[in-house]
Amino acid sequence: MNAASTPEWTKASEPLQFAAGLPGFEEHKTFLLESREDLRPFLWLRSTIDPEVALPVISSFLLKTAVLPLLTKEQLKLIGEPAMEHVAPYYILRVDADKNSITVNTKAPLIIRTDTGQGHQVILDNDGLQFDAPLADLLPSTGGDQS
Amino acid sequence: MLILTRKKGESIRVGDGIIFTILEGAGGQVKIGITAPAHVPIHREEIYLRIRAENQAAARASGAPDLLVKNAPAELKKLGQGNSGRKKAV
Repeated sequence: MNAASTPEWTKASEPLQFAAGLPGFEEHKTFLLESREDLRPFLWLRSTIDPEVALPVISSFLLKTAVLPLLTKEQLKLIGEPAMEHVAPYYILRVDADKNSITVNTKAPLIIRTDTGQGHQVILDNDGLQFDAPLADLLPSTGGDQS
Repeated sequence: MLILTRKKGESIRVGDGIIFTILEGAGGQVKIGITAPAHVPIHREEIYLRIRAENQAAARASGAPDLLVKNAPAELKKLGQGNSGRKKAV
């Protein structure tokens, strides 16, 4: 695909406020979710102060994992104790081009409050979760359960 | 590094609203209670370092988004063509 035919990035959210930033990017407090037609269902969480800082993410609802039941009251307080229908969990993805693999950080998902845009990266207390779970193992059609 | 000696039940205050309390110490382990404002992230050091490394590695892929799609399972690509299953973020 050449540059001329690359679809444009489109905004998939209003600005999201991560009061604590993200580990490794603490100075970045505001992000936007962006999508590109040819990259769906993946989204990019892009810093508003440095567009070079962008992390690929995917909605946890697309994978056979369950974030919401594992969230503690303390973790929900970090985004203002929303009703559960206003909590959108996302996983950060890592691509290893050398191994042709994609891994998913199921241990530390992002939780985003849909009605206010508050976000936080939390750590789930569950031994079955991994920082680098193979994406292929989390597809709804595959066996086992990560949570 | 500042080094302080504390007994069980004693505390150390850092800044305005962060307090470390020694709850228990035995067998080479120390149990610490931490009181801090909600916006202050608290992590075990090794966990924090792992998350930081994962986030930074994930961000490196941002320069080559096509790599992600190229390596994605076909089943997931099909999902992307239909309903994303994503709640609207805001």
